[in-house]
Amino acid sequence: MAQIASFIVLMMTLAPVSFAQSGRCGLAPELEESVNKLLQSGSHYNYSGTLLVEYGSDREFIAVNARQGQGSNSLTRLSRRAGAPMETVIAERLEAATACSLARLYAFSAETSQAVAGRATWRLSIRPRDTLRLGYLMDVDVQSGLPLRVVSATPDGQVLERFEFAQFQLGGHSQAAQLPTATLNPTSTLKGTGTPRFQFAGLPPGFTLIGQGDSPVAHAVVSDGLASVSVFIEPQPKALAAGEGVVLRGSTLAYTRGTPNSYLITVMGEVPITTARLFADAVRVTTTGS
Amino acid sequence: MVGDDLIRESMSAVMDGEGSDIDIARILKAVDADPSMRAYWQRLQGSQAFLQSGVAPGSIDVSEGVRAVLVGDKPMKQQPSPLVSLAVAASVTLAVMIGGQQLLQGRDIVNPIAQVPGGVMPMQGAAPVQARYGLEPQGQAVSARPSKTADRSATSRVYEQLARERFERYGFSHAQKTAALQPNAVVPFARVPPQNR
Repeated sequence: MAQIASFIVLMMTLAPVSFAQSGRCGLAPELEESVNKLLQSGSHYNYSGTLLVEYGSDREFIAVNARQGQGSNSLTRLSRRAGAPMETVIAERLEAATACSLARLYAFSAETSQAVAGRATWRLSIRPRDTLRLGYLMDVDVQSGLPLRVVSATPDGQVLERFEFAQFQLGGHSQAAQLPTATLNPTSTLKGTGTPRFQFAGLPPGFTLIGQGDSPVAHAVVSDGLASVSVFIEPQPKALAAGEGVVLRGSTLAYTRGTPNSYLITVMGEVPITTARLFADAVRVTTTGS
Repeated sequence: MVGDDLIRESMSAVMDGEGSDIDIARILKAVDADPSMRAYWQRLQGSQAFLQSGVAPGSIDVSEGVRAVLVGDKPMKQQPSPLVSLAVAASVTLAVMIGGQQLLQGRDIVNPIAQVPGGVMPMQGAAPVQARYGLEPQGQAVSARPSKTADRSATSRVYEQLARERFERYGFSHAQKTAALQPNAVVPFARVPPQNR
């Protein structure tokens, strides 16, 4: 883990030099192609395996069965208790970002890597160009483009999470259903019956609104194509002085802020706390619905 | 006695950082020769320690420290040497600090570091804590005396708990809506406790 941390610090402080960046968006054509393959691999392949996930000093093994064609995945927490039930989870389908769209926010570099779960991989370093995003170090399956080992870290190199397949079986191509994607106005007001309405005065650079809803409370979802953030707002449950609290679970952070006008803003996402604060700063509560 | 008054004045001057070399020599001679003067000198230092730390004084004696400063010093001059004055002041301060620490030993008054499960990420402002299932977070110890700092700590703990509750309450929703963009679509769900779905 210490070696990985050292590498991440190095990665974050040195400019990537592995690829000559001469393509249309500053990426070498072969790197652009490889990154695009990675970004789309999640919805293209079925796979199963055993995953080791480490969050700080906590770790667990998870049996994974991804059936992208059916739009559902399953996981079984092998370290939680004997006979733990299989959990079926459904991720909403989103249009994958492209290497070029991410290149203005992240610097990419590639190099050779060791085998993971008995499979050949190449290593991709994703270094944020500002301090608003996390960095990633991925060992990517050569055949499928799926990341088999991922380390995420803060911009200053603190490792947040590491996961790695101990055992991996690649299935076939999935036949993904075409789901409609909504185009949203980033400054539209988010409504909810009996819940506060809010809008963003602005969004941190690179982030756009990709979803919104009222359940369980009014919320919005934004992303830069790699990092994602959900912002929830609700009336403050008890009389409290303004303040803030933060909890981390691996790469995911939950930042909760109580405002002087008695609202509770929760920013949840795979971003540094600086970014979470910017989102909370940008929230403008307009009124309370009836 | 006029002599005793003079010595007490010298002691006060030294404690205030305004004593001359002559005052120091006078004090050292007095505390060696007169037990009552030594006791007075100790009480004086104890009072200063109490004013600085708020803790009842014990037995602190800096005369040896002062003497050590003066070992090898040149013959006394009428005007105080700035260097010697500084050394004496430093010696007194050090002695008070050490004495204060000795007095605090064995008293569990402040435990400054929160003992939380998982790794704690040092960040500016609010103190993030690593969530971990199955274990209750341990609160941060605070001073026994209520203060504004303690109030802020209590508020911070409440917000930390609110953040923890919201992580568990909204984590699944966040995972559902963003997992497709994350490096692995299953891991975001693994971060969320299964009972909160």
